[in-house]
Amino acid sequence: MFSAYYLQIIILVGINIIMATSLNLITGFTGQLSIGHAAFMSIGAYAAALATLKLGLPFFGSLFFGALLAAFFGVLIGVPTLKLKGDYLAIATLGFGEIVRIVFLNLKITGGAVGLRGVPKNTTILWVIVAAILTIFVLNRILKSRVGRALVAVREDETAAESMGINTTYYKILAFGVGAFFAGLGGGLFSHYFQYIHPNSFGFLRSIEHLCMVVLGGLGNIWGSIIGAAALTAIPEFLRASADYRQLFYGAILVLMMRIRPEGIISGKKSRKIPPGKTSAWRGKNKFLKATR
Amino acid sequence: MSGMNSNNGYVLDAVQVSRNFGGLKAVDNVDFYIKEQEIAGLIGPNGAGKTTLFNLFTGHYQPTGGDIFLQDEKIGGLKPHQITEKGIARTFQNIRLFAGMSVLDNVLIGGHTRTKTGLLGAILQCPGDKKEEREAKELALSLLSFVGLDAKKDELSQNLSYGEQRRLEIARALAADPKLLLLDEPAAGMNPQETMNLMQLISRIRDEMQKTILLIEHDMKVVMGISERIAVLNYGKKIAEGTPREIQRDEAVIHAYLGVSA
Repeated sequence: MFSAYYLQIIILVGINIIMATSLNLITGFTGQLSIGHAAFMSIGAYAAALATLKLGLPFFGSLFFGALLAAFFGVLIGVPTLKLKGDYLAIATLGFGEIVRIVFLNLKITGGAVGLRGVPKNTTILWVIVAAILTIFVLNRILKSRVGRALVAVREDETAAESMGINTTYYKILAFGVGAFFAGLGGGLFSHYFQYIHPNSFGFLRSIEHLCMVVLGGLGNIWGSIIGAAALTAIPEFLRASADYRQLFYGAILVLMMRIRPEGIISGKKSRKIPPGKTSAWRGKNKFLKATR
Repeated sequence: MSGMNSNNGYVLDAVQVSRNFGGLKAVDNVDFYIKEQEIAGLIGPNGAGKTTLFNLFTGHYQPTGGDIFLQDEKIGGLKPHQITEKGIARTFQNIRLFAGMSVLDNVLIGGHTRTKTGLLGAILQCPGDKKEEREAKELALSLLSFVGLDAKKDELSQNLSYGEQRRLEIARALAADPKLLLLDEPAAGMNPQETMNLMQLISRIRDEMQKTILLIEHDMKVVMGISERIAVLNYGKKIAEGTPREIQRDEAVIHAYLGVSA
């Protein structure tokens, strides 16, 4: 029983690594502030679960189906929100997340407010590890390529990127599509591990949790997101010892972390390093930080 | 680059181009052309419409009247990224580098339209994609050494000096292999030494890389020194066009710059 507990933490860490790294692609690298990542996760979770239950697809097929459907919605949300920036985009993605939650809460096929139960427990630790490694591998390859440079260029200066021949619309949609794909994958693993899913498992707070992992780990750095996801998944468990004060400590750690190291555990690629003597002015130029202030 | 489809030898041909902002005619019926491998200058007092005309060429604004052709192909109304793909690359008056990226990455992004690797290629990294990336890097490095920044390829572009940033912007634009290079006040904020180096660089881009160049510039020494032909705008209208010598003696130009009694 003891080991089952640790196993669950490890599986959650793995799923959260997938969630955080994929959100980092959208928010950290492409600069599109999204707080609706859990919505993509829920689409993947429900789609994969239903594919297993109703269509009888094999586990791999269900996961892929869930991820693909999430990617489809990622593109769909990308299109109308493209003109929005920073906080405005954040609100729009938040709205999207709520819509998805409400839809799942009212659909018959998803079990509505009762939730969906009876999903087979197909997710093993091996599946999670392979999926997490695959996610990291694919994201790394994208980021090191012409495509990744274009994404970062969109974050750095959209007008200049457009002038260099980058179709910024296309690359923003691409970031949402790829990010949502892996979020959907994480969702599929989630539903096939816990066997029961409810729309409220994927609410606004879970999206915020994903965002915290990305920011704490370091915007624009894949390894940072891995550490961020592991830390923010494991810390609340270790804090269980302190029982009533758990949430308090958790919050305090977040506040302290942002005060001491606002650029995250590992600062983004090279870009998030604040050059000496440029602190406040540089931060003023930083698009994301500016957008969140 | 030969312009074989072009019967008049013009790289860029703007025909009666206009752009209104509400009631303001920022660019008013301007005819303007640039010949193959020419260094052309565009001058005029502040607010004359130079940058607006530039932005019409690059697609940042859409013309409200007239047509713009790039080697006989209509480009008026296209988006900036489409126009870059067709062959116009630019620099900005207020430097717009990708500040948080390395010098090399900046130039690599300049080559975006000349490379193809898409999402699948990036993930699978087929031999063709690897080769493309290698060649793009080689080209970027050669451009960096052309502008004298090869030693700084791994630095963040925001850590370069002002003059270096200007040169990097030019290298980035050249990576797009443009038929026409637009320089928006390239000498702004430069000291005399940097300005001189810049003038040499612009001449070398034309002579060694056979590029066609249009520049907006306030520094008269620069414009008169390197342009072969200059157009003068005032209140959105073209008031003169000719060699630097002709422009310097032009009554209307002197009037526009110095005021009433010319």
